[in-house]
Amino acid sequence: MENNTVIVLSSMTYAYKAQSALAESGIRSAITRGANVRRMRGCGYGIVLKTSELDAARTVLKSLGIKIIGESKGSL
Amino acid sequence: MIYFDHAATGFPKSEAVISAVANAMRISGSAGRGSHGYAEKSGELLYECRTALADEFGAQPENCVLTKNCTESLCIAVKGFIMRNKGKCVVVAGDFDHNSVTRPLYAMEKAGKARIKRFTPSLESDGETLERFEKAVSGGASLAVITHASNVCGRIFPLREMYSAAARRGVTVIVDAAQTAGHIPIRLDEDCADILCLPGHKGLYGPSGTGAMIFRSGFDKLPDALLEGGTGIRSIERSMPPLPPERYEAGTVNTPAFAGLAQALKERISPEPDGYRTDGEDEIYRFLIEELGKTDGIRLIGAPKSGNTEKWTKILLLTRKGESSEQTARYLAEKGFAVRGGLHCAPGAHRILGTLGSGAVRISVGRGNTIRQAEELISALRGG
Repeated sequence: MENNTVIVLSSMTYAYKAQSALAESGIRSAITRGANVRRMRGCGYGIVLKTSELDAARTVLKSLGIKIIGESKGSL
Repeated sequence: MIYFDHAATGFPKSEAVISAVANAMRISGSAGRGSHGYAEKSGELLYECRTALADEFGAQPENCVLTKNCTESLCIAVKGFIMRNKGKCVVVAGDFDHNSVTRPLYAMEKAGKARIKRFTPSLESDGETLERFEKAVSGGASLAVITHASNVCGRIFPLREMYSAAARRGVTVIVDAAQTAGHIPIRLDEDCADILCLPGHKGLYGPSGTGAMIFRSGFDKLPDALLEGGTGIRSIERSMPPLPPERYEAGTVNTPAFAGLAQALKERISPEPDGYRTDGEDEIYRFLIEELGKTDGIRLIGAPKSGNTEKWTKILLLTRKGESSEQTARYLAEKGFAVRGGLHCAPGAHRILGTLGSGAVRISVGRGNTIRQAEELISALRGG
């Protein structure tokens, strides 16, 4: 059962920026380069987090101008 | 050997910087290429360096492009900006510029893509420099490249005022901070540059092979990429990614070196890591000027007068009567002193200073230098 969502960012740098920003807001995430990411725009970077924290994560990232390229259910 | 060549590269690097480099070589892979621990560690180390650069220079981490030196940063910024313009780009540049500015501009001029308007900064008066600069940027310029301080004589030019004059006229400003980064505060969030180019290995005391090109937040006239290749992202697309930093970082980035630079930046809150004994750099600089200024056979060139050193970096240029600068530098090396003779990759500056024929010896004060070392250098220059 997948309780996770992958948020796809535009680059490795933005993935680390997003992870750092979410951590400051108490949201844990992990960096991923799985198939869900690759399907969006070729190889890239995403962060995996609990789906229950997705809304809060979107708010944090939007407030910092970090663009979300796409989202995908699952961990990879 | 007593080191007085900090303008070439800051030395020594701290043990912690050396350890950071070595440690990164043991634990990190290639950033942006795999999903395994080594690759992730490498990505973390690079992001750490970007964050440290962003904190130091008033920028955002994603706007900190990692390059191999200030020269590469300037080449990307200058040529990439000119290339993104349609038609011929009018560029303002100064006579004290290093070849890392002069040569890319010359290449673009030869290719018919740029017209260069030169101005001569004044060593005596910031007001004069500003007036000449304003005249140059008025009337059609779209880019100005400003050398923050001369690598030949150390004079610091009025950057904030020049930036303001350019910005009012819609002129983009690239700053060469090779001799000032790490020595005097420079913050992109305090209106001093649109694109800041700097070395990691001089005033920041990071490893050789590190530099940065940093964009002001909100700057949107991004230069074209000069190097195309793999970036680990957007692999399906044939163009380079649209945004920094990956847009300008094709290929494998030198993670160990930038781990070292991140450590060097962390140390900036502690000015004397490893307990290097040092007297105040200002004190040593003034002492050298005073004593060498009254030494027979030594001519100081472009140096501050009457102890008024705050508009100079810790660089002192001189010639010794009856010999070329290379002979003087060689003699000093044999006496155990590291300095640099010749033209310092800045023939324009030497043309203005009147030393194009002879070159000159450059002494630059930095980490670990002491008054005692300065006394020995003075004694060597008085002897022989």
